Amino acid sequence: MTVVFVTCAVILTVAVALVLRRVEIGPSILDRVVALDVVVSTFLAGVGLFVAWAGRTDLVPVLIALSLVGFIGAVSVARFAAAESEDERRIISADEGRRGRRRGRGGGRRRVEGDAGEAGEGERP
Amino acid sequence: MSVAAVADVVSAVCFLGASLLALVAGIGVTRFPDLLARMHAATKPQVLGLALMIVGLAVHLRDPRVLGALALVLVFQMLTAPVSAHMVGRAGYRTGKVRSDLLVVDELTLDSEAAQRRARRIAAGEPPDTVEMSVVREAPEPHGEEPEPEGDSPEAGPEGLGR
Repeated sequence: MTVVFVTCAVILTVAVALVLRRVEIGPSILDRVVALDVVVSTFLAGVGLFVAWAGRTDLVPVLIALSLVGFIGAVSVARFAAAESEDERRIISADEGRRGRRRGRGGGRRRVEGDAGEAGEGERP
Repeated sequence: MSVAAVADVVSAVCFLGASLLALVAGIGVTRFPDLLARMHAATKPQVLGLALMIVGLAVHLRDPRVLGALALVLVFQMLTAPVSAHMVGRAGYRTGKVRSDLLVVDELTLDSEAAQRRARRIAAGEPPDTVEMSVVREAPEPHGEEPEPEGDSPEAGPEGLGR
């Protein structure tokens, strides 16, 4: 039985690693939130595996709590997801980050967060 | 073969199945091309994987006191997973994350376009064509059968007409 537990743990770890890759590269916030939902359900499976391995039946309420609140993150993110252009979606380069603006936006209405001090010269409204 | 040995085998199969479903979801979420396909892959460990894990856990523990709690886990997950899938799918459709070239049937777009045409006709003072929606819907289906709507496409609400 220990072999089964170790195998399952390894498989779950690989699954979470793959899903976390999607969290990182996911082109939109909705892709990321779907991937994070998969992380939650994989974590549920991991907790269940631990309960079975250690016989810790006192951890079953953890499973209940996770399955109850796991959807709130996805729902609240989806509620506020906004349409974004191709230009806003891409990851800015280091040079653009230094200049504090995304290229190709007329007027520079939107600023890149966290780099307010080095915003472009003379463009500030 | 004793009861314990049989239970061990059954729970081991369930655990391995649940883990493999999580792995399938990981591969699918990583490799599928658009949001709806990734959501489709993501539902595998959310419901079926969790059900397998719960069954395996119940068989492995064989403790009647936790059976109710384990059933509750499954009930809650089955209640909440569709909610988040609906919200994410609706937001994905409205923000243009759905790739229409990958869809076999896109009834929501057809219906919302028909409803917009109908609204324009009413606004122009012409009589609305009430049969238009069903006529438009049947046009792109080559099979004649009514196929299931693709994935988690959101329902057309009155406010869902404009993307």
